[in-house]
Amino acid sequence: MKNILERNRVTVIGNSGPTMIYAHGFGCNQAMWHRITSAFGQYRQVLFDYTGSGAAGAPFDARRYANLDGYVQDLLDVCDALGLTEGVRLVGHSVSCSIGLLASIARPSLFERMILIGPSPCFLNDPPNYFGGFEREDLAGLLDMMEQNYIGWAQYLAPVVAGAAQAESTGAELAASFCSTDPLAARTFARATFFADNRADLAAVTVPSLILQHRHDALAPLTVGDYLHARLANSRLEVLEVSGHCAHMSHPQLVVAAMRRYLSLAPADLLGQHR
Amino acid sequence: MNLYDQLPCAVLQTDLEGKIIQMNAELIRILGPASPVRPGALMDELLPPASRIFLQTHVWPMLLREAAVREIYLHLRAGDATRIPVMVNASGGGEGASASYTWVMFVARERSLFEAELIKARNRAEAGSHAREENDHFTHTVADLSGRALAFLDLSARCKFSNARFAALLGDHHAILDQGPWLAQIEPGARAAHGQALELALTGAAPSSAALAVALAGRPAWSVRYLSSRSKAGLLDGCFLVEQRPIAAT
Repeated sequence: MKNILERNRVTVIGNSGPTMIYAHGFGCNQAMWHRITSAFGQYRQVLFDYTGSGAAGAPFDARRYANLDGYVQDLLDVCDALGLTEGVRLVGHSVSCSIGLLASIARPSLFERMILIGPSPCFLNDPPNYFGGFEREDLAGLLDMMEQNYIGWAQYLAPVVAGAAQAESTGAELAASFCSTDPLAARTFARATFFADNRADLAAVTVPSLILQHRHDALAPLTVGDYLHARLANSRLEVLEVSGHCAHMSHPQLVVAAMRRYLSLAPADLLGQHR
Repeated sequence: MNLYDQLPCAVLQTDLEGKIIQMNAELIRILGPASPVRPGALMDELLPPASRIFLQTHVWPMLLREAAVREIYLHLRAGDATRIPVMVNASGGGEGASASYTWVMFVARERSLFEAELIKARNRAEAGSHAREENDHFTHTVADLSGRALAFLDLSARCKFSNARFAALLGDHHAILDQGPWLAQIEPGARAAHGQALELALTGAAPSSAALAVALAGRPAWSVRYLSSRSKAGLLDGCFLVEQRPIAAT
């Protein structure tokens, strides 16, 4: 259990009140939540990094994380390591909304309610009925873009010199920016994120959820929020009047207010569809 | 004309959400006359899809957390739909109506090509390294499965390869092979005969020797033949040591 807490760099803030667990999106790590957590001192707040995200130094098994199931398992591992069995409030961003939904299907009794910031069950277009926003070739472009953006060129080129078994050593030396990630882990997470299609899983979700939709979001457009709301039982949809994909960083006060409203609802009021 | 418009690089000013406040003359020139993007639009519209994803998943979080980003590689989408590689720095922040970010972009066509070549070369080197590891594993497995002791000596008679049975037959002597030539292992009485067979194999004069006994202190005796080795191009590159014994019937 201790190694799960290290592997996922689990941070626990506070030790009383209901448990809230925050799951970061692709591209960053738990540091993205710092403007939210300060507003919820009455909760026991759990933060973690997915394996390979942030400065997590654990060896990265690319097969385990080839699709979202590996990330779902990370989330469940963290809950298990902390002995969480029920009543957890999940706050997910972007792809972590899908990860949270899948985790809630696997363990419906673990989660009490979920807050989904900028969710999308599928980033790819599937005409004529679904437009996630992107084509498969856009992902190839993204992988190239990531490859040309590794902070620390010498480090990125170094592994060949050092031989093939290098993942751990380079991971530890990456520049300290909070978007730095082990290159293999970043590519693997990108593929798992942008090739995921969890539309068929939505009908199996029973845990109540709040969808926080950005008004103008290049990654998760309004129509995707509507799509999710229509298919997620016991969901509420709230549109934040902001542009971008990470309102919890750009407009934390709006997100905190929406979270407070939703967290204050009595369990019976979570059931049914609301806008 | 203000200073921004005289700068030989593209400059963009946005609000905290990425809505374009100002574009300088160089940015408008780079995008070309066909680009419809003007102040009021979201800067996402300046970018092709992959760069848009990178902007939203990496650049904005960094900018919002650290108030600046440096040397980020992105593509702009010109009015004629071509992609323009740019290096981007951005900084700014603040609260309220006056808060904004300033984005500076340098066109980096040559640099981008050079870096792409470096990455390709790196990926090729890594693929080569993986292939070599696989090949090594395969070679060792086949050599171990052959049932005979096998080793390869280069032209200076140093051992470059040996299989598990060869190591087992040599016992402690095997470790010494790393430091000296093979002949130094052979006991003095038999060294001349081995030396001659080795010489003939390494020069190609006699590509396959007769079987010679190998007796090392504290080890059971066995016999070996020397076989010339030639590279794919036909050049002598060393010789194989092959254990001679009837393969036991199973």
